[in-house]
This record gives sequence, C-alpha cells and structure tokens, in this order.
Amino acid sequence: MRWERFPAFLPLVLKSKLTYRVAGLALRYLGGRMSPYQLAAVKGVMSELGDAYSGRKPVIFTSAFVPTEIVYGLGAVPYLPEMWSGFAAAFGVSVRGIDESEAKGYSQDLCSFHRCHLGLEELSLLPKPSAIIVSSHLCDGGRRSLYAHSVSTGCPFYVVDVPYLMTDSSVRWLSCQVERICEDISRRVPGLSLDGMARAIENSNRARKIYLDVCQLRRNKPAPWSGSEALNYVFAFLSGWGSEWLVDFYANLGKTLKQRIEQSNYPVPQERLRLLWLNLKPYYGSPLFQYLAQWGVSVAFEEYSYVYWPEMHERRWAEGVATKMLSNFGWGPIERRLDAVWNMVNDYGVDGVVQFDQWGCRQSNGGARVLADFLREKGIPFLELDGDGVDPRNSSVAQALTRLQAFIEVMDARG
Amino acid sequence: MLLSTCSYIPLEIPLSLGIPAKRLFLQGIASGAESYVPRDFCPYAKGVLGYVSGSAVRGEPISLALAGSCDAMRRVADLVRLYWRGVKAYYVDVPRTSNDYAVDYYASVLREFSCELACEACDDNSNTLPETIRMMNRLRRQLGGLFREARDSSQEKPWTRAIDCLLSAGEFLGSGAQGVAGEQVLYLEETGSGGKGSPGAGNVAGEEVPCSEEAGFQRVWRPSVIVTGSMCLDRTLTSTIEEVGFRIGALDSCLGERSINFQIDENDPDCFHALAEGYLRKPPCPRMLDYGRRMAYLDEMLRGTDPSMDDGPGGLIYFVPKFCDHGYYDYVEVKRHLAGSSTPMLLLEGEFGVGNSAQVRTRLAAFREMLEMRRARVFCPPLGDVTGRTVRSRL
Amino acid sequence: MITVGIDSGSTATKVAVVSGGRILAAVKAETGTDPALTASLCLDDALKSCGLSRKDVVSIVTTGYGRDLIPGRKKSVTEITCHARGASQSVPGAKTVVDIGGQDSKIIRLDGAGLVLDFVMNDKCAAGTGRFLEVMAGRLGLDLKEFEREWKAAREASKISSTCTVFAESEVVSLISQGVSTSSVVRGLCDAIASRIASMGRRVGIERPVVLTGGVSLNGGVRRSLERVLGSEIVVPPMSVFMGAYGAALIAASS
Repeated sequence: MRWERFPAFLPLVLKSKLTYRVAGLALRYLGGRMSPYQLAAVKGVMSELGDAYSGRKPVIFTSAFVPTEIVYGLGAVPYLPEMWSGFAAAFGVSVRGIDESEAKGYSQDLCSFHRCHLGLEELSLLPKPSAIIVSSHLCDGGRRSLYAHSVSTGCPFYVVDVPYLMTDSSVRWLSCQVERICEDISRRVPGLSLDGMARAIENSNRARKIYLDVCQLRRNKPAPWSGSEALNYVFAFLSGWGSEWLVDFYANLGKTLKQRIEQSNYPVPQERLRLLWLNLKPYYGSPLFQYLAQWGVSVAFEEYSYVYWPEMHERRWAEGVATKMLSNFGWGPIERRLDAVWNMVNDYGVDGVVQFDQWGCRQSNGGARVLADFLREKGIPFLELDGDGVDPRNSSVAQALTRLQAFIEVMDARG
Repeated sequence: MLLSTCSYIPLEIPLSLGIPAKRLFLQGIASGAESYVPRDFCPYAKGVLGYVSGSAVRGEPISLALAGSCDAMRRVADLVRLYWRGVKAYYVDVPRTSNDYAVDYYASVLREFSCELACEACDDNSNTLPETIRMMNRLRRQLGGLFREARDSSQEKPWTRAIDCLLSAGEFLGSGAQGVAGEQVLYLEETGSGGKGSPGAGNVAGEEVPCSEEAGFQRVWRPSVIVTGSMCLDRTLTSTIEEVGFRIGALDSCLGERSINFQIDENDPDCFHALAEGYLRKPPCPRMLDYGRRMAYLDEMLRGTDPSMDDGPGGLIYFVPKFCDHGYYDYVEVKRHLAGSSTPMLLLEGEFGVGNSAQVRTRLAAFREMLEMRRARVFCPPLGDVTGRTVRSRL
Repeated sequence: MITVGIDSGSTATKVAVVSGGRILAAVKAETGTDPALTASLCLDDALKSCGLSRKDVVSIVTTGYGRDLIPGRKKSVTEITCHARGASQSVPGAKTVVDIGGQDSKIIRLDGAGLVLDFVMNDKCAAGTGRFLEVMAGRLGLDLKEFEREWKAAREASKISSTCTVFAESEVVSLISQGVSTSSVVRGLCDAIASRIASMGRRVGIERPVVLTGGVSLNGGVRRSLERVLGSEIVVPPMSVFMGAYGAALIAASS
C-alpha cells in the first residue's frame, strides 16, 4: 500500500559504495568552498558512513551518552541513532520516520528523536549493527529505543548500568562493567579487539585539549561561532571522541575562530545580547536563529558543548570511561547541572539562558523549574521554549518567535 | 513515617529500625505539583509531589525514599530535596540490572541507606533485620495467597478486593503496627473486614454474586485477561475491568503481584545481600533493563493463567500511565513478543481514576465484545441493499 | 421482526428502525443535554414515519457514549462492535472500518466475515475528529458541506503540518493572511486529518476494502484525501452516518 511519496532509492544510495566514492570526489573538488573544520567533519563522517553502510567495519549503535572512545578502541564505527534523527530532520525525512514508528505502536508522547530513528529502521535507512551499547544514565527513551533495534536486528545488547553518584564503589562497579562489555564484544564480533583502546583514549585526550582552547576562543565578544552551527556540530561532540577526525576538526575550528577574531568577522557583528542555549534545537528548517541574529542576539555557547570530564588515563581506559560517564552533569543530583550552567554563564558572559524544551525529554525539561529559580536568584533571565527538534508538526513557529522576542524585550528592558 | 516511591526499595530496612514505612500509592494528584514539573510528567510523579506539598501544608512529618525509577522520578527527587526542606528525602540508587555485580552494588547501597536511617532513628537493626525479613516474607506469602485465591474466585471483583487487602497491609505497616501486619492480613482473610482506609474492602471470599439462572441472572461469560504495564495507578482500573465482565488471571503491577511474588533468602548471613538479591530479582518491572527476564515472566503468566482453559480465548490488557516512557516502550515490546501468538492485546492509557473514564470503559467493553465474537464466531451474511428512508427529526 | 438501534453519540443521536436487515427509517438529531429524551423523541419520529409504534419493536440495542443512559434497551453494545457489524453487513467482505465521529475516531480491523480482529481509537485530543474540521470550517467561514467543492477546486494542498487543533488553527490564520486560497487550505486540512487517521490505522494494519462511516464520512474532501493517503479506494456505504445504529439494530435482531 502506498502511503506518501518517499525517496525509495535512498536506502540503496546509502548502502552503495559508489555513493561514497562520488562524495569523496565531490569533496576533493568542492571542498575548497567549505571551511577547513567543516571539511574535516564531513570527511570524517562520510568515511565512517561508507564503512558502516558498506559493511567494511562493524557498526556499534550507542545511546547518546555512551563514551564513543570504547567503540573506536574496539575498532568499530559508532552510530548514534538519536543523532541521525537530527540529520533526518535536516534532510526532510523525519516526519516519515516518525509516522512509521507510530504505525508500529510507539506513542506520540515519546521523544520524537527516538521515535524518528525507530521509523528510520523501518525505512531501511539505518546500517546493520553488530552490537548495541546503552547506558542507564540520563535518558530512558534512548536505551529503550535502542533495545527495540536489538530485537529487530538480533544483535547483542549491552547495558552499562550507571550508578547515581561518583563514589569509589560506583567507579569500581562501572569500570568493571565497561571492561566486561568490551571484552565480550571483542570476543563475539569478528574483527574487533581491545588493541586500539589506548590509541582511542589518546585521541580523545588530544581532542579534548584542543577543544578546551576552542572554548576559550568562544568566550570572545562578539561570539566567533554561530550557536546554530555549533548545535549542528553537537553530533561531533557526541560521536567523535576517540576518533582521529575529531582532533582534526577541533584543530581546524580553532584556527578558523582565531582568524575570525583577528579579522573581526563575526556571525552576528552587531551583537547586543548573548545567550546560553540548553538542550537541542529544531533540526528542520526553522527561522528561530535567523531572527535571533536579526535582533542582534547570538547564542554564545550550548549546554551540549560543555566538557565535563577529566583527562583519561590511557592504560586504565575502563576507569577513565567510567569516570567520564559518572561526571556527566545531567546525571546525579540536579545541583551538578546548576553548577555546570553557572560555569557556562560566567565563562561565556551570557545575558540570558534559553532551554529548548524538547517534547518528551523529561530528564532535561524536568529540571526547568529548579533552573529558572536558580538563575532568577542570580539575576539571569531564563526562558523555556517548548518545541520539537525533529517533528515540525508538533510546535508553532509563530508561538516560539513571540516567546523569544518577548524574552529579548525583557533582557533589553533590564539594560 | 517513611514512604517509598518504588517497590524495589526494601521496606524491611526502615521497619527493622522501628520506622513505620509503606509504599506510597495515591488516589489522585493533589494540587501543588503543577508549577514544579512540565505538563508531560506522568501522573504518579505529579502525584508524589502533590502529596509532599499537601503533607507540608498540613504539617505532617514524612520522609521519602525515592529511586531513579525513571527520568521524571529522578527530577521529583531533586524537587523534593530542594523545595521541601522539611521532608527528609533519601535517594536509593536501585540498579537497572540484576546480575551478581549489580546485586553486590545494591547491597552496598542498602547498607548505606540503613546506616542513614539508623542515624536518624538513633537505633540499630542488626538483630531486628532478620526477624523483619521473616515477617515480610510471611506477609508476602499471605498476600500472594489472596491473589491466587482471586484468580480462581467466581465472586464479585475478587482482584479489586485483593488490591484493597494489599493497600490495607500497607496501611498497617505505615501505622507502626508492623509486628502484627501478617496477622492483620490473616484477619482480613478470615473475617472479610476491609480494615481502615480501604474503601469498600472486604476479603477475597466476599459476598456471593447471584449468578444462577433461577435467581433471574444469566450466567455471564467472563474471558480471562492478564493485566500488565508499568504501573496500575489505582484500584479503579481493575474494578472497571472486573465490572465490564473480565476474569483477571494475573495482575502484573506494583499495585499487584509484582510487589508480593517473591521471597528474601532467610538463610543468607548477609541480610543486605539477601535483600538486594531478592528485590532485584523479583518479577521485573519495565524500568529494569533485563528485558529477557521481563518477557520470560510474561510467558510464565500466560502459561500460568491458561486463558484458553474454561472461558474461551482470553487476552492481555496493557495499561500505561500517561507520559510513562517505560510503559510506552514496553507495550510495543510486549506486542511484538506476542505477535506470533493468538493472544489479543488492548492498550489503555490514562491518569488516576482511569477506570472511571467513559472512553476506557468503552474500550474495555469493545475488547470484551471482540473476544466474545471470536468465541462465538458471530457474523451475519451480507444482505446487500440496506437503505431506507431518512426522517427529519423534530429536534 | 422490527428491531431498533440507537446510537447516542457525543454530538448526535442516530436511530435506525430495521426489519429483515433493511433500514425502514432513520432519524438523526443533536444529542443535547438529555440523551435519553433525545433518543426517545428520535425513536418516536422514526417509528411514526413508517407507521409503527413501540409495541411493534421486538428489541432495542443502544450504543455510543450515552448507551447506558437510554431506558428500554435490551442491552448496550459499544460503537466498535456496532460499526463493525453495520459496515460488514453493508459492504460484504469489508476488512477495515474507519469511523470518524464528532469527538473521536476509530479504526476497526475485520477478518472479512464481520469478526473484529483489532481496533484503535484516538486519545483525548481532538486531532483527527469531526470537531477538528468543525473548528477549521468555522475559521474559514465555510459550511462543512462545501469542503468537497473546495477540495476539488484546489490546485494544490497548503502544507498544514499540525493536527493539533490549536496549532492548526493558527496555521490556517497565517495562511489566510498570506493570501492563500481557501480551497488550498481546505485541501491541506483534509490531508492533515487523513495523515493522522492513516498513521493511527497503521497500528492495526489497514486492508482493503476500507469502509468510511460516521458523521465525517459525508465530507467528500476528507474521503478524497484519505483515498490519496491510503492509496486505496474508500467505500462510503449508503446511510453511513447511521452505521452504528444500524449495527446495533442488527445485533438486536440476532441476540
């Protein structure tokens, strides 16, 4: 039965080796039009996509906050389905994905990022995973939706059960889990081993060091990098740790931002106000950020670009990965998130904070009241902006713009 | 009194320290929660906050034991800690897996929880904990017996009555009379007394419903169903299911058999290890990430109730509290798990008082009619033209 | 044998007087605040129109949200079973019944011989119901009967992404202010409701023949959009609005 027009050739295109050869050639000739950091990211992602869809390398699906260092360390390609829901929205196929998942019985009250990738699987748009690793921290929907993939693809499913607090016993238990899971995967999935762990941790530490310099540059006023673009590159922040390309990406990004500052070439040259953006954003064509720029407002930094973990020890990799997970400021008591937000407010000199309330994201939205009161006490305006990152049907642009504009007016009135 | 928001938190620990404790089951959402949480939080999470807010207004001293049951409850724990400073809130880090390592970790968490409570109560439970474990095991056995009895009962609303007994037992534990809670349940069983705080409760062997044809009643066919889901919020759901004419074969919810169908090893010299193991390996709730165990338990329930036995084909009713992520995902998994079988499934979602909703009643009645049609294979041959005249109403 | 089916819906009450599987008379009126009185008056009107009285009626079965409020019934049966029964009688071999009423919509899967295999209903939200269309028609200043004409007149459908009544209303206002033609907006609205219904229907699996019943079945615009979205012809049986009441009367005859 035909439902609506859908590019039926898309799965074939994604799985064809020719696609990646053509893309490689195109990048060689057209790459000059892109910034070096954009080129580094696109090359990295295209190469991994080619490996993943052609079956050259095993693919491991992970939920958003599983450190990808372990996947690169094993020699596999990490694939974060939630992130690909964002890409699907940008390419205009998210609605179709969401409809597919609803037809399978998934409720409209669930986060659309998860519903979308469940539907993308139905449309044969996801690669075939060799294993799936989820963590129990932060997001209920992430792990549950990935379990559904493991049932439909029949691949092994691993749960990293993350304790609530960072204590000696919790680090011990968690590192032991990480180690056992990685060992088991290396035994069960052909072509994978633990040999690359030290290298992946080394890459991660290098990228982290360079990235902290990038963060320093982003403190500049006016902001040298557009928040909307930075939110597009959240995929790199979530899925690139442990890879070679992330090092390259951040190094080039640093160079570009430095140049921009030197040449006073800013995305919002007449910057009046600076915002901190919490959670994600609409990944389909939405005019929100254009309007902000028009009003002289830049998004100086984003919650999901914040480095919250310490450097990792290359040989005690499991402990390093465990510590990274336990350091996540979205996990544990909410005071940790308040501290992180307050650090960002101060580091980036923002005038206000906007939390994008993604539909169904209970871990983030549930903290809004505490955040609002905390920031109000500190004299920082805070706005909760209801919306949906991948389903354009689930919110009203006019309503969002009215709220944003009123928020800017409030900040203006405060002088 | 200590109120627990998750059935994975052992009440044995506070009770052994002489602290009255019970699982917090609610009947609705008291006002006072709306401004603290987003609109898409589940009714239980909102209800807990409403309850805390109400208790604070009334000046009732309560303590809460909260677990990270889901993202929403994790945030509720934050809110209680930050906004109701008079309420002592304990966060019990319940793992989501149940292997030996998780059990060891949970044992350490429980030991710490016990120390915190002991400090607060200025007491020591090293001698009383084994005894309390025995008492709670006995209580669970007795309540389990009542639920088993409900399964075979042909009386009026046996499962709703069994739930009332479960709630009454909780009331006894919360009233500080834990030493006699087991006896109280036996008392309920023997006398049919509902106990205080249990609306309309009687024992499972309650009054006989006239069902003989001589008495003017037709014997009604009652298809058997398994009721499952993340959490049955209150007794109205089972009450309506039974009213509509279903025979409940199993009630897989924390307000049901999931809270009682397990025992703690009384011979384990380490009580905390025994509690951790017993609770983590009890009938699994959808919040746990041991999905294989969940489906195996479901299969066991289906085999145990044998819906095809005497009353013809039965089914499965899945209830999800509105905005419960665990429930929504688990529903699809259960549906997929049962896809190969002939067991029909009905999804219901709602808030507190769900059983009183006309829409839910209609769905249940339609589900029953569907099963009845399947049983009788009722259908009529087509007649072709059915048209007649349409008359304009005088209204 | 004369039997009667009364469908006491949230918006309208429908009564069907049936004999030998044929509808002798059918009456529809707004339910109002007293479902029992409305049903009684409709029943009298229907019987009177074919020269019958209440004494001639062997059995009455009620359905709809007010089904348990109507006195004199032999029994009450849900709308799902009644629509399934009525539709499978009217359209032999029907496999899917889409019933779009004033306040809710249902999709019923049948085995082709009248047996209900599964069903799904919308939640509390008005998306995909007659109420949604009513609100939008009001905003456009149109009568619902004009929807088909406007649908046909449209060269293309406006993109109305939301089926939430509140959001969609604001989208309609915005489209009107941009000067988009009414017909294009109407087609966009019909497509939006059809997508919602299709998405819901896929949970139970839609199979041909698909029968459309309920108040919205008379809305040609929605029917055409549904046909397009489902890629399947939709059968609207005669007296489709009375399908619930007709099914109830058939059940009254067989029980």
